[in-house]
Amino acid sequence: MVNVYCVKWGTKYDRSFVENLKTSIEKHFTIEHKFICFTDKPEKDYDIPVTHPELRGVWHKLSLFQFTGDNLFFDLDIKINGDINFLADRFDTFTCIDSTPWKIHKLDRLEYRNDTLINTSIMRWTDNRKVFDNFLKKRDLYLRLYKGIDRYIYNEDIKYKTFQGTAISSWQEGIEDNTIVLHNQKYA
Amino acid sequence: MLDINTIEIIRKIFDRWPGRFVDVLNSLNEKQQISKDWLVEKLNEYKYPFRHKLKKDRISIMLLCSWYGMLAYKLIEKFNVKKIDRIYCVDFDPKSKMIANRLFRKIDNDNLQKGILTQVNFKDKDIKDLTKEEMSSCEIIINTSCEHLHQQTIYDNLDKCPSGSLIVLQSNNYHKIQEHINTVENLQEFVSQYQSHLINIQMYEKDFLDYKRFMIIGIKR
Repeated sequence: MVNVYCVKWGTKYDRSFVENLKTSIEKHFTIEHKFICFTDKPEKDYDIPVTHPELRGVWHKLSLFQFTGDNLFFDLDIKINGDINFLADRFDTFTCIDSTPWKIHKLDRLEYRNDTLINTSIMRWTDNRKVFDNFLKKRDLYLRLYKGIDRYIYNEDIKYKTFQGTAISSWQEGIEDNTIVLHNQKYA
Repeated sequence: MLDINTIEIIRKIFDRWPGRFVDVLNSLNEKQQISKDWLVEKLNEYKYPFRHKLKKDRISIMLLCSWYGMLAYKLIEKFNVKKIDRIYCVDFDPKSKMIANRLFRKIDNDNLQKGILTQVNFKDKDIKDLTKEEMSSCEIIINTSCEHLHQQTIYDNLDKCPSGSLIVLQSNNYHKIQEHINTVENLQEFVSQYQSHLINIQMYEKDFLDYKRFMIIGIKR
């Protein structure tokens, strides 16, 4: 059984984004799974409340690492256009997305901005508790230094791999018809 | 115009800790300077018994969550009630000490030449791990980062301070910053959090237009 998580926090995305993602997952992910929405306002039977209410926005994605098992996470603003069963493989390694294709022009500013070359719109893991525990130990420092978990993971030398192949792309690359299209920062 | 020393410090910080460059600049920004100057000004005015009773010629001060330690140098420059023996800067950021050394090296050297003997010691430590003995070694305990800390952490820390310690706390109502997990709405709310821990509380408020900064000075019960 695969746990499929999303996070809905605050008012940036309304409930329709969760429903659309759930419908897409049901259509394109045929492996046995449980859909779970991690949220500050639980209202559906698939919702569970956030566990660290002091955190804001994307940082709740990081708190999902307290959960073990075969886990997948999807941002609410991704678009799924085809079969995504390929994601249910090698859960033992924490995996996220290589954002180099749309970040290449920012490489020279990467270091001093604490920027990142990974993207966590989709994540896969089995046991990443240590990452979240370490974050909690110096939460204030990391929240001060990093604007989001992509930057935290990339700059704090957390071990990760990236999804291979060409099935995932970003709208920032000008691609809209891939199997999975990220709409990262489109709704910022 | 920036002097050569300042430019050199900026260059070295950028070269050695590029990921900290913005954070270092933030720690020295105008609002930080105003908040720290304000703290020292009010601390100088506070009627604390050590003005008359404390036999020790020199006192020690502990700065909790001290960031890169700018407040320590404000205190050395402007605190005029007692001579300061040591200032302990406690922060769990392992890079704080190195960056502070680079930032304030020239001021340290200048102070020595002027005969100012105050030592600034960095402790790479979570304030949760401070012992009662460590807290007892200082007459004044300052925490300007209450909005960054769980309330229970602040209370636990205060509980380790001996009765009679002079306590300075700052917080704000700047809710939108992601690391501000424990903001308050107003000065009254801030004071009410500490009435059972402190006596002779003096309270202050400073308006920064987009938010207000609050400060209380009191004596540990």
